Amino acid sequence: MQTPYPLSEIDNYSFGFTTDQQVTYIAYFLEYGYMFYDYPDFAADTYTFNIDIVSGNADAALNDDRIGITIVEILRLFFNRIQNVVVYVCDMSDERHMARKRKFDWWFWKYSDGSIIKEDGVAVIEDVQILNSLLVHKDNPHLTAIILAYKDLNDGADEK
Amino acid sequence: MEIKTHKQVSNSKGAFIFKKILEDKKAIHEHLLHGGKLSDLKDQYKFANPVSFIRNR
Repeated sequence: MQTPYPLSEIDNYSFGFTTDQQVTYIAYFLEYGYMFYDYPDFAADTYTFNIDIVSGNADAALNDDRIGITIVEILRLFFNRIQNVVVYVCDMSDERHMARKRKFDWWFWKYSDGSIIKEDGVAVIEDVQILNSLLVHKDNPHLTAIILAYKDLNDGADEK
Repeated sequence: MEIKTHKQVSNSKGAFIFKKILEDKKAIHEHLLHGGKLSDLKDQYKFANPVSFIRNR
């Protein structure tokens, strides 16, 4: 059975790992309390999750399953604190966001242990689709309210 | 594992939030791309400390 790559803590703000192909990733969480500022029960526990490549050629590691295993392990660690809420937004800087989303979904489906619930969304802003996902621990005491808040974030289209 | 999907549409609140997330993501990506460290940005963004959430087991 494959194992996650060893994680290193980088300057107190992120996890890093380097693949067998010498591609180095960092993963970090940003506080986004104002995302759900109308919901004080969980606003302060809300973060975005980001993955970046800081060195190496990503194409060299396309079929490396250990990357997905490691990303899911990072999420598992983050959800040791079950109150945490994560929104993952796919990078839209190029035309590969659909592929990124599929890869993230595949990793999550394949390697998650079932403790994290994932809800997917598509925000259409100025004719651009922004693919995003909500991740929340299944035992979060505010689970239902969080999911509803996530939907409300996007469903209030007429609130100009 | 549960996976559910919501079809969403644009709105002012959601648009603002998602645009801000993408802007932040891009700015941090550019910073890292040019050899910067996240610690350089600690006054601009609130990063979660990995050690803190590992200790919260």
